[in-house]
Amino acid sequence: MQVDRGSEPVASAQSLTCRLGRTFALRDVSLDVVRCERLALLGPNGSGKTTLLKVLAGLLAPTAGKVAVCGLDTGRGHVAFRRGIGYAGHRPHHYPDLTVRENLMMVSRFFLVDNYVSRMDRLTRDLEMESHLDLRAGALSRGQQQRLALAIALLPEPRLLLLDEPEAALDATTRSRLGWIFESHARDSGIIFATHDLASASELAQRALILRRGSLVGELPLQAGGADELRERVAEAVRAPRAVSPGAINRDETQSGRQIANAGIRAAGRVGTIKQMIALIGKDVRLEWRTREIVPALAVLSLLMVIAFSLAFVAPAEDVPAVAAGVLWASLIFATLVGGLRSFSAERDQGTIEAIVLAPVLRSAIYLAKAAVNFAFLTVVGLLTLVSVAVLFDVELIRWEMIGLLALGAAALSSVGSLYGAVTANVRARELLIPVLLLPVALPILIAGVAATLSVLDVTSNAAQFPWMGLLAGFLAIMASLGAILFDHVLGD
Amino acid sequence: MSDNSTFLLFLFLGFAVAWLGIIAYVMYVGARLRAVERDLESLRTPAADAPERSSGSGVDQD
Amino acid sequence: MDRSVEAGRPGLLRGAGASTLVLWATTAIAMAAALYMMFLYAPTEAVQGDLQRLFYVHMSTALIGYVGFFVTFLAGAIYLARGSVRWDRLARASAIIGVVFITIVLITGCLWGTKVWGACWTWDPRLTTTLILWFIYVGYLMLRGYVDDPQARMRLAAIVGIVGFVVVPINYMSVYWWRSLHPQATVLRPEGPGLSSEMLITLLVTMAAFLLLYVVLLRLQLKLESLIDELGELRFRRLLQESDG
Repeated sequence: MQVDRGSEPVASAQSLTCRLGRTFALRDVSLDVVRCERLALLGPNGSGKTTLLKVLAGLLAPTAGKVAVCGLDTGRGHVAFRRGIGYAGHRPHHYPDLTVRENLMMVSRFFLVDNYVSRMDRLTRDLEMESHLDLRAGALSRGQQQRLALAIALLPEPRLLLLDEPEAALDATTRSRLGWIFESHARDSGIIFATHDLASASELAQRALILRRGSLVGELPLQAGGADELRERVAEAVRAPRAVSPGAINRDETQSGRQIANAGIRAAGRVGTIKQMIALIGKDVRLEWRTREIVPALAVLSLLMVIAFSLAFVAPAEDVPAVAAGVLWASLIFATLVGGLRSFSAERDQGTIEAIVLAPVLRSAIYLAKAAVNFAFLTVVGLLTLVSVAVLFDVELIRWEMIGLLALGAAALSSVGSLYGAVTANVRARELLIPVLLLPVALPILIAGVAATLSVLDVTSNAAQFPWMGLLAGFLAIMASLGAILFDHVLGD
Repeated sequence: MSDNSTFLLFLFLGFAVAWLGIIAYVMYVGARLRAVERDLESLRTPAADAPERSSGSGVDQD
Repeated sequence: MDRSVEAGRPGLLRGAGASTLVLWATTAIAMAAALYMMFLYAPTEAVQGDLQRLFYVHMSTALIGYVGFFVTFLAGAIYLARGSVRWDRLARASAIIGVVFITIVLITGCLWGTKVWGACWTWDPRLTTTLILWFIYVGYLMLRGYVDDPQARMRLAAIVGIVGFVVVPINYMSVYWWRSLHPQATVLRPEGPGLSSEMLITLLVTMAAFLLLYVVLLRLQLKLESLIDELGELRFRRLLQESDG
């Protein structure tokens, strides 16, 4: 295997500093990795290996310093560089309720991999996963899940492969085959992996960087079989009182290549983005179809709200249409609060939000896809609520205008619900905070929905529904644009 | 027209609320400022004179 | 040290430079002028009598509340574009002042309404929008308390501050149209039938004085915020020193 240290680096980090809470997770770390190079990150627990990998993968923004992958900026607002990165971290990035095949298909659609059928076949064969292809990913054993994580990272043929303890949970046979797997699936990639296993480090890597308390404290060339010597050198470096200054690390010849090989790595075009959005929407719909988690719960909640409201308000007969209109929209707002919260918090709890963040998908596309899914779910819930209100209150609500109005209202609600669901996904006590944040902003939808319903029911002038629908459409347009613009700042870190 | 004395009472109440509110807010900020400045002083002084002395009082406050 | 004189000043004025003292003095003079005009220059209103004099303070605090939230919106947007902590601090400080002033507006409005309308509250579009705005920014400040990571806190707060301000006109419009569905019985507009020119001048002077007060308070709050940040930084360094040493 030829490593040309003079060639352009696939990953280059300069003076990375990263503060997490009250500690420095990284302090002034610089490194370059070139094509075909295998670099091991060594160091005790809490030395910053995982943080370094996350920063290189663009999952975590550094407090100071710069990262370039394939010569592309990894800062906020950039997604093209993600096309060149394969990442397997501690937390699984697959959806437990999708099968292995579906998970791999989804990743290949996110990354717009052309030849994914043949790649999937080769990868699953070499990782010995062929027999698990149609199993739910959540049902796999830990070792099999780790293999799936490796397959997901290798699938898009990344220029830069970032692996956090790739050998963890793997059996001895698979472990011994890791080098061969890298050779056959990521031959030209630069690979950086963190490990505690010095034997595999000396076997897989040509170079090792030693981290201690977030600083680089040593760099070693490695030869296969030198695990004992390596152990001593690592212990020595970790014990040393002072950190090696980054200047002591050999990086003179890598400074040149700024015009790096980024050929073939581009942001997805318009067609590609639409494909990615379809993959995102398809994933959520498939998950819902399989788990039946969101829509039934929201529908039942909404019906319960209808019953609770109808018992709460004692209305004279002539006020019944007004009460019915209010009950319908109030119930729908409550469904939005719960549904908006669920759409992102589930992703966050399962760790799959990282899979989406890692994908080279425009943030605005992620938002619009989520909003579209929530729109579909809320429309279904809204129609069920509409029917039940019409029956329970004996009001003539089942009309075409009402269905259009409901769809418009559901779209407006999902535009704001998806944004606030994502905002609160990373927040403490999010289930308490989301109503506080969302309700005051969503009040125009409630007002417009009720008023337009009253006009459809001829309680007020029938022509009055159109300005209200205009207001809903305006709200939808403003909120969807804001969401698409601002979503880049919601995800990540 | 109502009698002007209850108008005056409500005028007084309104002004009292407005000004007491603002004064309470300023006093709160002032108190916070003093507390933070005191903490800053206590952290700075031992740091400059004797780096090895522990500064428990300053650190464990929050 | 050249700052020793200033450092000797107690409390709020500690570390205050000449420009700050000038600003404080100007504000005090403007406020005194506003009070003079409110009580002695402006004529007594025919229907509400002396109670109408509350209107100047009420309107001015409302103005500051809205200005405060507008600054939060603007500073939040600039923070997202530039990423500088200073803008986030400005957004937060302005939101706090906005909430304080809107709270005062709501209470004085209630007192006034009790006497004039016979009710503490009516669902007037301006009142309702102001109340909703108050809730939006209370939510903004709550959100800031609920996020642990400082970077995420600043970004998410900026988003909520932007969205919250952008929906204000939509909120106003929807409540305004909604009121037209349910015509109100009591309509005694806060401004009365119209303002005389003396009243208008008094209002403008009061508003100017309150704007100055806003700047004074904003600077105070900003100083507090930056000192808190400095304290956090110092504690962080100290902790680091101890763990390294």
